[in-house]
Amino acid sequence: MASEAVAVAATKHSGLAALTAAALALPGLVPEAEAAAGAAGTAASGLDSRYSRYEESGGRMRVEVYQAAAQARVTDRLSLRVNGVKDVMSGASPMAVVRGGDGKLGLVMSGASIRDERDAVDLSASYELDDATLGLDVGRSSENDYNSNFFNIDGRWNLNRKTTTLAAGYGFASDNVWAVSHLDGRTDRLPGVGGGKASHQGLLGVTQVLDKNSLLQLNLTYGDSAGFLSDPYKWVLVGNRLVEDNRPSQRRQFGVLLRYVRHFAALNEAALHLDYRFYSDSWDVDAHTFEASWHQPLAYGWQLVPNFRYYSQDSADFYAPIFEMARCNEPHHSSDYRLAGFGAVAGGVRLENEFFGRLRVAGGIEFYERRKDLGFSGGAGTAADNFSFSVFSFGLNLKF
Amino acid sequence: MSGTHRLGAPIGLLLLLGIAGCAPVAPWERGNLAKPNMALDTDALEAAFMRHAYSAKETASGGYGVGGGGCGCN
Repeated sequence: MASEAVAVAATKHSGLAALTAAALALPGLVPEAEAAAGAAGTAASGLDSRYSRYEESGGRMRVEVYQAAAQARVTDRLSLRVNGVKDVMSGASPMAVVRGGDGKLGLVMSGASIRDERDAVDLSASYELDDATLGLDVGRSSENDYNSNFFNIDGRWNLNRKTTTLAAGYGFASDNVWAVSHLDGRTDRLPGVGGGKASHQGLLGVTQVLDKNSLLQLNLTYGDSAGFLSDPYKWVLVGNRLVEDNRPSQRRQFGVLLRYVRHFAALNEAALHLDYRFYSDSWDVDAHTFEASWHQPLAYGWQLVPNFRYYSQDSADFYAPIFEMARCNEPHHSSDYRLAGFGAVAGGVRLENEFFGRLRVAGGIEFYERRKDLGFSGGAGTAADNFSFSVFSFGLNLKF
Repeated sequence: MSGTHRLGAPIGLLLLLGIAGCAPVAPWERGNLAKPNMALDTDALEAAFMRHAYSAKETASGGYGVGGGGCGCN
């Protein structure tokens, strides 16, 4: 009888310990690097891979994306992760906005001659202390007309018996951009076009457990970029002349991100995710992003994840589709569609399952529609820049 | 950055109200919070790619973390 009591007590104790350990490793409270390790957000060893096909409407850009990542827990406290991405891009891109013979605005496209590849790799380390985690990430991204070298450091501190996590991070990137021509199958660098830029970014954040079913995260980010911030492939119609895209050589960016996650036990353990982000920069662009997703477990371990996204921004203060006449003492001008006022809606669904407790399989589809008249922020823009894209993806995640 | 100051106070107030309204949650009450679908990013590679795609087509970016390299995306 005594031994039975001991056994029951031991079982209760181990069950409680397991539950406590799981609860302390809250997905929302682990470092970004660890959260990137897997669905549960733990720092277990594993391999991730994903293939995506991105395709824009009207014969514009098409991108095949290959992602792979490997994570290993080296010691009880140290985890390493290597992350690689290869993009294979082809298609056409807008170069300028012009007025046609009928008076309507239209786009000058690059022609379907763009063919490029982007290779990116980064290596990160995460070290856990008793109530904190430190992270370091170093990486490089290169294309035939762009390269970027970067590093990031971050720290997270757990407070209030791990119901509150404070986060701070800093990142630096040194980028170079230039233009190339694609003629007769050859890619040649165009001399005298482009330049370098340096970007600093900082983050302060807090994640708070609200109750046993919900948590909230708030992140503040600030960025400062200086150098060549124009696009060497874009041109602007000023008066009756096409001139090079010319933007200020400094940009300060500020962002506020608010995330809320709630569990619904009565709905078969479903979860609701809500995100809102406010963005503002020194080019006078304000933007709002709303995202929602519903994570619904189904039978036999399957889970369906529909999502919806809405985005609205106003235009930069030096943006116009075309400039009817030259502007005195205004050196900056751009008709890049990304600096226009517009709105966008997107939606998609992902279906996923985990087999043998180790192998997670996921497939998804996403549609995005960008239109001048979908935004509520106002600003200049043109319907000639409207477009849509779709993304089909398939991913595998193996945990060891 | 005209909207920065407009939103700072409401967001700060919201956060303070959120934290002030928190009920104490003991470790053994956090089983639901530890479920995989409660992770802030339930699919890290998908989240990374989609944020990259959006930031290549829109002005706004960031908020989810620091760093990462730029690109010449058009």
